[in-house]
Amino acid sequence: MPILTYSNLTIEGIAACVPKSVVTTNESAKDLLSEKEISKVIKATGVEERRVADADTCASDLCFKAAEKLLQEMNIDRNTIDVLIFVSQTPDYRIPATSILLQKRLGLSKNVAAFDVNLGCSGYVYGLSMAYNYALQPNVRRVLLLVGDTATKFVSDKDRTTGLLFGDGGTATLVGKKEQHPISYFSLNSDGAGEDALKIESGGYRNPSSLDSLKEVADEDGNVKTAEQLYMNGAEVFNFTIREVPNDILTLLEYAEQDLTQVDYLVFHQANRFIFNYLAKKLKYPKEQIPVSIDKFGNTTSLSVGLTIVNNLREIINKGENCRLLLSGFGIGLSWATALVDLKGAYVSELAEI
Amino acid sequence: MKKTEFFEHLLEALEPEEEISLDQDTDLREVEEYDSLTVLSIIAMTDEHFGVTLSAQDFKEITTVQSLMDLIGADQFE
Repeated sequence: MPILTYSNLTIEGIAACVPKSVVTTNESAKDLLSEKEISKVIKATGVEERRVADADTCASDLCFKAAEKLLQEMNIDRNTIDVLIFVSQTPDYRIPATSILLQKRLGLSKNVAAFDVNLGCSGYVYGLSMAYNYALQPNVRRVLLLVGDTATKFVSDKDRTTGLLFGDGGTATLVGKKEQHPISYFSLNSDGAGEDALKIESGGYRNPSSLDSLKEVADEDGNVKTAEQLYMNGAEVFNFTIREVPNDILTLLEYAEQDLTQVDYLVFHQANRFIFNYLAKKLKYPKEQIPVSIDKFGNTTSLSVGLTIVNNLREIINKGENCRLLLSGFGIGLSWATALVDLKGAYVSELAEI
Repeated sequence: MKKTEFFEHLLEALEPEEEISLDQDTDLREVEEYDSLTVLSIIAMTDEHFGVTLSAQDFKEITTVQSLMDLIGADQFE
């Protein structure tokens, strides 16, 4: 898609919520790996601990809590919310769409447009562009974007490539109008040729759930998973990331007639520490200006960009200084998105837990 | 790039716990540290120094250090 630009719109506020339950990599890997291997994994991925939702907690619950907190703290009239977007790959039910259930739970007007979007690690940035796009409409006052996932529920804890990596959470972001706000820029991309790099093969309608799809199977490296759990080819994902992401960032900045020195923080999807350290090196961007949340929360898939803003940049943004952020989400699809946004004047709520 | 310099970069990517030496004939599959994590380091190293982005498919073909050098391109080495 050509680069999208939005004027007179802004992020009014952001909140995030994570499960209370902390799982350390040392603890969860002790049956799977030797001590030496564990420290190697922690060093490469950067995941020291992560938050794992219990059986009763869904992505919608985490987003609901974040949204309630945000709307209450900002004292938002719920009737001014005209659109509700829920970005997730872990909905409550196969059908109906979770966003519609959230309309009722959040007490939003029946005039609200509500829909779900199935995107993963590019999801926060994609979702934000959709929110901006609706907010552009003259009669739309506010858009509520909820991005949340419980990826720990679709990975096998006997698979070393995924079992120690992911964490759960939910975010709520309010987009609305603001005169004279700096222009926001978005670049959105897709490459279905990479569909096999990250995939849950069965449980949809191409390969329906069956007794076979629930059987645990070991691969050549001894990783055990079912066909209804996530497969990830780390080398393929990394190859794609370094081929596409830096170029997309530079193309967007060139279009905006800005450069990386004008970006206060570069908020990457928290894929793994090795990946974004290398991206920083490739872009010659200072590591100190790349917030890291993967150490405490793991790879939080769709919501990682929003969660990182809340966890790492809350005080800075609430002070209203140095809020020029470049957001970069990339992964499953393959799908990747870049945004340049200014959060001056936005309210960031303290991280919630349930 | 000089081959010796390349071997040093490759060693940095592998980060072996015990000192090992590498040459063209070293079978990477027999190096203990050659795994899904160090493969990422090798992809980064060849991207950084040669502008070559190796794919997962490439790694299926890699056996010896020489086979990795062939994928990077013989003309890249002195």
